[in-house]
Amino acid sequence: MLHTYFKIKLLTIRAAMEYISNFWIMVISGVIVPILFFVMTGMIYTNLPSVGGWSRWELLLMAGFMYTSKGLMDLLFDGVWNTTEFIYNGKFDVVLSRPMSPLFQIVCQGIGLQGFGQFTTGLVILVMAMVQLQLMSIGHFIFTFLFLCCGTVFRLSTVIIFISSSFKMKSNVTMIPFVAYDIGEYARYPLAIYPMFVRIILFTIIPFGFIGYLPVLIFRGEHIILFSIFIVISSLLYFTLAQAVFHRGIQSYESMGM
Amino acid sequence: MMKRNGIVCFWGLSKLSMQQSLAYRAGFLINLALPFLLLFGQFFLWKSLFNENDSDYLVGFSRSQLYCYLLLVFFLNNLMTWKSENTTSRKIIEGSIVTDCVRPVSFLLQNMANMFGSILLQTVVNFILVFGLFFMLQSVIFIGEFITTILFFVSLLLGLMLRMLFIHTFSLLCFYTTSHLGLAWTRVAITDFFSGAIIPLTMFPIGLKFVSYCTPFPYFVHAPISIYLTLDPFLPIWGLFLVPLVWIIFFIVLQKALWRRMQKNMTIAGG
Repeated sequence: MLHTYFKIKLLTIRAAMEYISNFWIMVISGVIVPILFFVMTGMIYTNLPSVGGWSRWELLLMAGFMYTSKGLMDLLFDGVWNTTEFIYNGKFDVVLSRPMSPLFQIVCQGIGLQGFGQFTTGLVILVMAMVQLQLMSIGHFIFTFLFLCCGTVFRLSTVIIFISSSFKMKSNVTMIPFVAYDIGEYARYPLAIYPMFVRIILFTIIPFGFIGYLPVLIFRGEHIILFSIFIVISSLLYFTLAQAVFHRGIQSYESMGM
Repeated sequence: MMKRNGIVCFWGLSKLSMQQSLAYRAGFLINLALPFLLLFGQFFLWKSLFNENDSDYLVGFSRSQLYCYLLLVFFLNNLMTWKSENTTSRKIIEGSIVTDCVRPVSFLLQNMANMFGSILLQTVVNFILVFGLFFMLQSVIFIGEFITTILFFVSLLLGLMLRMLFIHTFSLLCFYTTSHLGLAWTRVAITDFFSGAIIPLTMFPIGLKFVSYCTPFPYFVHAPISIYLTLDPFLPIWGLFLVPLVWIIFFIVLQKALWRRMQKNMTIAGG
């Protein structure tokens, strides 16, 4: 299955590279957002002493986790965003007729070239923050890799869950997954600044608190083992839930007549 | 007579766009109300920043002004939906632009009418939500004077027209690339940053603020709000109306030139 996945991805990248200006436009679009966030953080800290008691580099470390995992999500699983279009145009019929998991097929589709930009810029911000905060041991790198993988799974699962609403809504455009994703992006700031109900949302319904906030708490030395285990187990459970929601959604799908 | 026909066409096409948006009602209503959730996150972020600051003022805003700023940013920045912003790009990519070419109405007018149709619906919903919040929070929120409210609406109209023209002209680049998503994301990121939708321009260093005011972006969001809140202006009040007007003329001329050039190069399958 993994062999098929990487083969499809490789073919998609090769096809995308055929149109070189398109490729660069997408990459640049991915670079711009993290860079603007970097500039904005600088401006905030020029005007204010701290945000939620966190230093500038701690905030950027969290942003680094957020953007790098976002880049990975776009590079590896961007196809999931096409679910609505597949349902609306009836292309989902083709997916269902193949002897392979429908979710796997959807996820394999396409590649988010903006992910190259997001991943690279996010990683640069992440490494810069780690250097500034003196988090340069092998252990830190292993944990960083682990948290990035889990963060990507959290992002993928969130999109799967919310985009499954398209099976019910049957509209050609739905904002639900995009708004959920945008709400999740509030986890770029320390969650302590939000009231309890927002924190609960960011750890349960849209669990983006696990992507950047919790890893930075771990790097600050808070409950290292407990929080790390919690992140890994939660990511697996949330992905299982996402799969269940997607398959439940398929039951509501109305075929185009195949 | 010619002018009247133009208005009738514009209104007819706007109504069509509204009907298209309303075709899937449940989805339409959910999509309209959802961005409202994003407002809460902004509110808590700025409230926290205010609480950490000892002074009564934060980057030139009092607390009541800042809450008002957030509400108005929500109102202005969510008038354009992702769908309405990308209709022209999609048409170009899919080739359905050909239907616009055969209609006996100007291409610019058709696309502006299309955007206007969806904006009108969004304006009604946003206005109800924001007006309701203004009414509920009137004791803690800044309420502008009558004259600044009138000037705010004039500036808003100019800003909206400029934004529609900017989006439309930018969308024409899709004749040269199929990467419409990349163009749209770049446009949205730059617009949000320089318009003051993410952080107020009062936080910008002086050099960057000067650069921002030379671009069309602050007139989408920051300029109308700064008029309403009577913030210390970077430009004199007449400048806040004159500069977007100049930009509007610039984009109309640019659109005409680009469209003429693209019409010559356009190849329509089967046409």
